[in-house]
Formats: sequence, C-alpha cells, structure tokens
Amino acid sequence: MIKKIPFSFWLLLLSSQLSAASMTLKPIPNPNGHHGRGAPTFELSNGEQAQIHFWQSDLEKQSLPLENQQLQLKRPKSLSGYHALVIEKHSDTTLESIQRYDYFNGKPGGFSPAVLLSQPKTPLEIIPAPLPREHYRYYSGSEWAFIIRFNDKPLASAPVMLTTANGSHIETVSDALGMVNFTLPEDFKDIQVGRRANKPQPFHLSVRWDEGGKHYHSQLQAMYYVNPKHWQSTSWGIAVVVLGLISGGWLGRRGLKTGAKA
Amino acid sequence: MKFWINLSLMRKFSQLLAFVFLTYGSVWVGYYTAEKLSVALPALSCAYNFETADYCVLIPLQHQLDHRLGMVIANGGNLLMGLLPSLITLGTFLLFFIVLNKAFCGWICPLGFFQEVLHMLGQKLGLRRHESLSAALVDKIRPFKWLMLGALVFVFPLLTGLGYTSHDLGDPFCKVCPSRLLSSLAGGDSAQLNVDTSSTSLLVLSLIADFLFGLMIALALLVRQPFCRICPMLALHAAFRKIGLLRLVKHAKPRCERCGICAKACPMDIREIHTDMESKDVTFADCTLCGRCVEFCPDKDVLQLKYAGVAFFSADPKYFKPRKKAQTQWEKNTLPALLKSKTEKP
Repeated sequence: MIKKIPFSFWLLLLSSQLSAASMTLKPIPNPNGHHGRGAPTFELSNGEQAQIHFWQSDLEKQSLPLENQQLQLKRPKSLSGYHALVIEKHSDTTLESIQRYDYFNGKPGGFSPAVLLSQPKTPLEIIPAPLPREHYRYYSGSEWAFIIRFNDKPLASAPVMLTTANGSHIETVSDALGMVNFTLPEDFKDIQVGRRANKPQPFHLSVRWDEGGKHYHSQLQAMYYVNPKHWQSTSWGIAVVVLGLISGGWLGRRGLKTGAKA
Repeated sequence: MKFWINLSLMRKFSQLLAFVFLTYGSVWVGYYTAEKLSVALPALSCAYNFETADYCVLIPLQHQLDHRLGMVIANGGNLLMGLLPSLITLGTFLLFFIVLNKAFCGWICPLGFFQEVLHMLGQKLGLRRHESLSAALVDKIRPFKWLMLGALVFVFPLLTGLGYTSHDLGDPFCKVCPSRLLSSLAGGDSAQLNVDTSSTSLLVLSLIADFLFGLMIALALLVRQPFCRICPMLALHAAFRKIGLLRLVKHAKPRCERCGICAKACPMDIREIHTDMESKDVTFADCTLCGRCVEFCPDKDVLQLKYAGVAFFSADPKYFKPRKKAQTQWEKNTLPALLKSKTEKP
C-alpha cells in the first residue's frame, strides 16, 4: 500500500542524514555493458572508511577498493549467477550497510543463489525471498517477498520502507517470521512500447533497528523494470487460442477427412 | 486386466508422476536454475514455468547457439570455446538419453501426456475421432519435425547470434512451444498467453504460439498426438536413437504381412512397424517407445522392448487377448453410451 510518509519519518530521516551523512550508492551506466557482461561500476558517496566486500556465488569473499568515490565489481571469470555486494560503514554507535545482488553471465558455476542468500553477510540484512530467477526481473506491479534478518535470525516488527527512483514510498512492518511483501509500484512515466525502450530504475528497501545501544541501518538496492503487460494483452491471447481451437476443430472434423481412416 | 500387468496403464502412471514432478517439482528440487536436475532434459519441461523441476534441452541449446557460438563466430573468437557450452548441453542430454532413449517422449514428456489425456477425453465424450491418419498425410507431416529442429532450434538462434536476425528470434522454438503455455498455465501463470505487441517478430511469434496451443488442444481431442508429430524434440531423439539402450525390436514372421494391428495401435501412425520385414531394430524416427505396438501384437515375441539387448516386455497372445478385451471395454464406455443406456432403461 502506497502511503503518505508521516512527518516523523522525514524528521528521523533528515536527522540521520545530518548526523551521520548516510552512504548512497548509484550505478554508473556502462557503455560496454551488454546482457550483464559488462563490469558494473558504482558511485559511492560518503563511503570513506567503508568496508566493501564482493561475495561470489561460491561464497568466496573479496575486498574491493574505493577509488575517487567509484567502485567496480570484478566479473567472476568462471561463475555465472548471482553475486552480492555488501558495503558496511561502522562507527561506535551505528552500523550502516548497503547490499546488492547482481547477476553475471558466464560459465555455469553450479552454485544456487540460495547458498549466497543464506550466508550471513552483515548483522542487519534484507534477504530477497526469492531473487528473480534467471531471465526474470523485478517488474513494476509484481509482488515480491523479503526477509529481514538480524544476527542470522528473522527480525519481527521491523519497520521497512520501499523507495523507488520514480518517487514512490511504501511502508510496512515485518511479520513474526521477519517477512515483508511489497508490490513494486506502477510508477514509470512516459512508458514506451518494448522492454528495451524503457530504462530500468533503482529501488531500495531500507530498515532501521536499535539493539544494544547501537543503531543499525540497512538498505537493499535493486533495479526494477516496466511491467511487460503494458504492451502485452491477455485477452487477445485468449482470443487467438480460441481461434486455434475453432480451426483445430474444423481441421480435425473436415480438413483431415480425406486423409484419414476414421 | 490387472493394473500392474497393463503396460498402457503403467505408462499413464509414469506420465502422471512425471507431469506432476516436472510441473511442480521446484518444491522438491529448488527454485533457482542451479538447483534444477540437469537443465538439459530430453522432454518438453518448460523453463518459463517457475515451478518446474528441470528444463528441456532445447532452451539452453538455443541460448548457447545465440549468445555463445553465434557471437564467437561474429566477433572472431575461439570457435571451440563458443561451441563448448552447446557440446556440454548435448552431452548432458545424451547421458539421459542413453538410459531411456525415445521413451522420454512416450513415458515422461508432460506435453505428450497432456495430448493423450485430451484424446481420452475426446473418446469419452464420444467425439468422432481419427484413430489413424492416412499414409499420405503421415508422409507429408513427417519432415516438419526436422524443419522445426533445424530452423527454430539451430538456424534462427545462430543467425541471431551472428547479428542477422532480431534478438527476439534468439529462442524462437520456445516462443511458439505449446509446452511453454501449458506448463506456465499449470504453474498458475497466465502471462505466457499474452500477445506481445512490442515488435513485429514478437507479435507474430506470440500469435503463432497461442494459435498453435488452441489448435493442438482441439486436434488432440480428435487425433492422436498432433503436436508430437512435428515436435523438434522428436527429431533430436531420432538423430541419436541408435545410442539408446532401450529399443523396439521386431522378429518378423510371415503372418505379420497379413496382420498390421501393431501399426493401427501406434499413436504416431508408424506403418513401417507392420510393413518392414527386414529390420530388427524398429525404433523408427517417429517412435516414442510407448510399447503399444508390443501390447497389441498377437504373436509371441514378434515385437519386444529390449533394454541393453535384454527383452523385458514381449508380445504374447496371453497378454494380447485380455488387453484387447480391456481396450474394447474401455472404448465402449463413453458419455453418449452412458446417456443412451440411461434413457433406454424403463
């Protein structure tokens, strides 16, 4: 449900921005990127002293350097599938983190994304349940589930907010199993016909939690795409199936008559 | 006739189990591709259905010819590296295929089972069906499976990788395959039915897919296995059928020339099972190893299903007689017959 954001939330957000200068991670378009083959590059603001880790699908963990506020994911040479980028910024009183799961094409590694998702990577995590399977994506209007996990256990009653680059905000609270469900908003404007004609936009889920005198703030970033239903028609599809049924009925009763031993 | 000695019933049971497993099997094997059984199954188990337990070999083949081999040729890379993914996929397919040969069509394929169920429905509804197609029509239909395999599974994906055709034609067989619609609908997703207007090629492909799906359903009520006859998987199986361990074997006797019940029983109308008096291995290109011809052969050991040279199901008059009787009884039990008997009762 898309709601108006309460004033208290903005106040809290503003105060946290002013006090800690939250990290922001933005994908930089890669001119050589094609079908997930390019090495994604990101701009990380306020990420000085942040620890940046790249988890491969086989759970091999690498540290990535931040140079001129930019970080580049290295394409694993032999592993296709999902890999995780986890950025953590520690202070005495806060732990801020950003998580992403990016898909790379390559040689089949044979590692299920379920293994990567179940591996604890930071204390407060937002786990896609599930990730979009290969050849599928987060589409506007589609519903997705996520699990909020704190110290490797489901976190109940945590306030979670979904924010899209197109300006929508949705709030919810995790259930007893730490699960939240979101329907990605249909908020793309000037939709063109065809998937490639519409650029995907980022969205993020964020969750805040206080425990043991420490403030945790985590964010899961991903891209979402215009729902193909904008240029597809189910009713026309059904009509064509019916046409096929009628034609098949005619062909079966009449068309095959001369050539069949009934 | 008892269930456990009726080969057709045993086969239906196997098909039903395979249908449930291949349509909803993600519950057991997992959701992601890496968790699927092989990703090169010799049966039309569709990757577009998120609930499936495994993927049909044709989808990775098309993708690899497009994204790997075609692109390597176009960009002047290492040809062997471009070919390697397709060879691995074919190798995995062959590991399965050696075990069951073309029985993947007759005993496992969800789309084959769906068509058989529809035909049974047509029979029970008392529709006027064509039990067998004429030899001339069968001969006309037979080359289509090779055309489907060559054009839709190999040529168009390769041309797409080479950059000659639109990206939309990278997996043209999947885009028209009735199993994609059946499997995704059975998995609770109607999106694959959609007509796609985003490009001319996608519009044409989605129209063909929907039309073919409707056509197949209607025809399956009246004709046995309509889509199987043009299925590229049947052609791929035909190309490798000599390496499978399961075979249909014939020891022709002079009486065979006058009989021909085997050909009438064959759901694929392979008349050569009857007419070929020379070949021992009669696992013909269109055979799905369903074993129906063996069931309905009245002469002892003339037709046999052999596994690695060992006969495990042979034609036998002792089997034939009760089987024929059971079939006659089964065919008598139709909805019109039931209604007629009720109206005739005083």
